[in-house]
Amino acid sequence: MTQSTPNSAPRPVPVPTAESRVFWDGAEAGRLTLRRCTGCGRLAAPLAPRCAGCLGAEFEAETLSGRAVLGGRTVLHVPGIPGGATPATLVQCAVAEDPRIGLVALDTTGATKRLRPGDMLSLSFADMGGGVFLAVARPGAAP
Amino acid sequence: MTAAVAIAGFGASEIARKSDRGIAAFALDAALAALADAGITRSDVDGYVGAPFATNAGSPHAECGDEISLKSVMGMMDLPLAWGADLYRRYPTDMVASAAHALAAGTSRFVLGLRALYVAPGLDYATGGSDRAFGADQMTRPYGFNIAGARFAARAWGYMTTHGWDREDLWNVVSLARRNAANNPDAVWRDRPLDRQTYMDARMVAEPHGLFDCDMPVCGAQAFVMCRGEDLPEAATPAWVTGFSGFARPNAIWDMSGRTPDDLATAQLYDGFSSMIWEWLDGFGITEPGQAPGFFRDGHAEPGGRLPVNTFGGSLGEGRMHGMGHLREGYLQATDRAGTRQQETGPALVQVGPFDDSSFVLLEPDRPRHAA
Ligand SMILES: [Zn+2]
Repeated sequence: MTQSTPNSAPRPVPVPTAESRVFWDGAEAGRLTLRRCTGCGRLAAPLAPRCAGCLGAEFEAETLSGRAVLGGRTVLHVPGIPGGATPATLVQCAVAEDPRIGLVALDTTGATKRLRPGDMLSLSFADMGGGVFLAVARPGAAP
Repeated sequence: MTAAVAIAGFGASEIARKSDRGIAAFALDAALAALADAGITRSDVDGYVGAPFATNAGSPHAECGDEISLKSVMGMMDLPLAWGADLYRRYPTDMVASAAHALAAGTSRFVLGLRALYVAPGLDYATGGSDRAFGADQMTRPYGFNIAGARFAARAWGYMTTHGWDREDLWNVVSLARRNAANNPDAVWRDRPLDRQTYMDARMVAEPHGLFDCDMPVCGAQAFVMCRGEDLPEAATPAWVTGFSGFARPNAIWDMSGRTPDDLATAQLYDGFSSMIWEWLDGFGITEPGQAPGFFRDGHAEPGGRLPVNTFGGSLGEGRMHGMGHLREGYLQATDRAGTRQQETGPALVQVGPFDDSSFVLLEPDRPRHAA
């Protein structure tokens, strides 16, 4: 299944909220950015309304290393995948600084094929067109 | 359970790949069959529970398509109910728990539980579609991670890679589903045996899942009636609800029922995608962590095996009834009504939902002694 299928489905544009804007602004700048609770120091997932630890609502934006731990991986073959061609490789990973926070990323080169769960990834963000900046995963520690 | 509560009867519509009839027609068929099976009439029903969710392509958030709900059921059956609830994004196992609560509280005497599924023409089941991603979807849909079970496929890859399993182990699950479906007159795949080569050669959907690792969307509905022990109709064959729990504290089901996994006679485990079936064999300690595929490989899940699994064919064999088929089979196995596929009549575990969202029900043939 190496054949590429052209695809006209638009890639859905993320609609940020007050909570997730820090993440998407960071994405546009090419950096993994989350919010850290000023009360207890725990990192918050992009969509979290408050800190899951202390329920505090005060955060500071923080640029992270971009390192993440590979959890899952799939290659999608179905037609109708947004914004690109199939097959498309997706990974599910955990943020190195707090593995309770999971993220999805694209593997645009297929280089994660040789990895195993638990291996390190480096996340960056790429302009997918139409103002959509998405996480892209590559093997290894961040540069 | 502090009150003795039972599923008094179960009913089903036909299951069809496509239909000219609407979803309500399937739902009403199932509801009337359930009332007849329990030995009650429409006027006895004073409670309702449903869980309309992902009924058809494009409707995971219930804003699209035609859902069967409390309101539509009250309308089509002309029922002035004392109580009813639609459980948002929950499962048939949660419907049982919710009905049990209403019965234990004395709110209702006969609760109808109903769930209908439908293939809406013109919508691509795998992909759905919209050009913007709102709310929690913004983290997944722009990547395509909501498509074709990608998140379950990614998890399956992690599990299989970590523990050394391969597509032969997925085939074991699909093969068992097809063979069991042959004994289920309602199953969409009942007359369609599948051989290993056809399975292996089928197109990939989301690796490691191929075409036959995904359940078949169908039109169909299934329904049950629940009541307290003292209200059990003479004609009804009860499966007693002795325990239920949710994914965050799954073992509460054993505390509630006084049972252990060793007591189980059968297990109906959700298999919308083949790999999902492994989750709770590991999760309940029936197998060592990571070893559930070996349970299938060694034949323990087969009819007559150590713990027969998905004796009706599962979603992979019966069609995508979204867990109602699992619940119905648990009921039939616990009441010795499963016909040619009947296993030992004993505690029947039913699990519905994904690894991070499952719920559980335990059904038993004998009335619990400690309950009122
Ligand atoms: Zn905090």
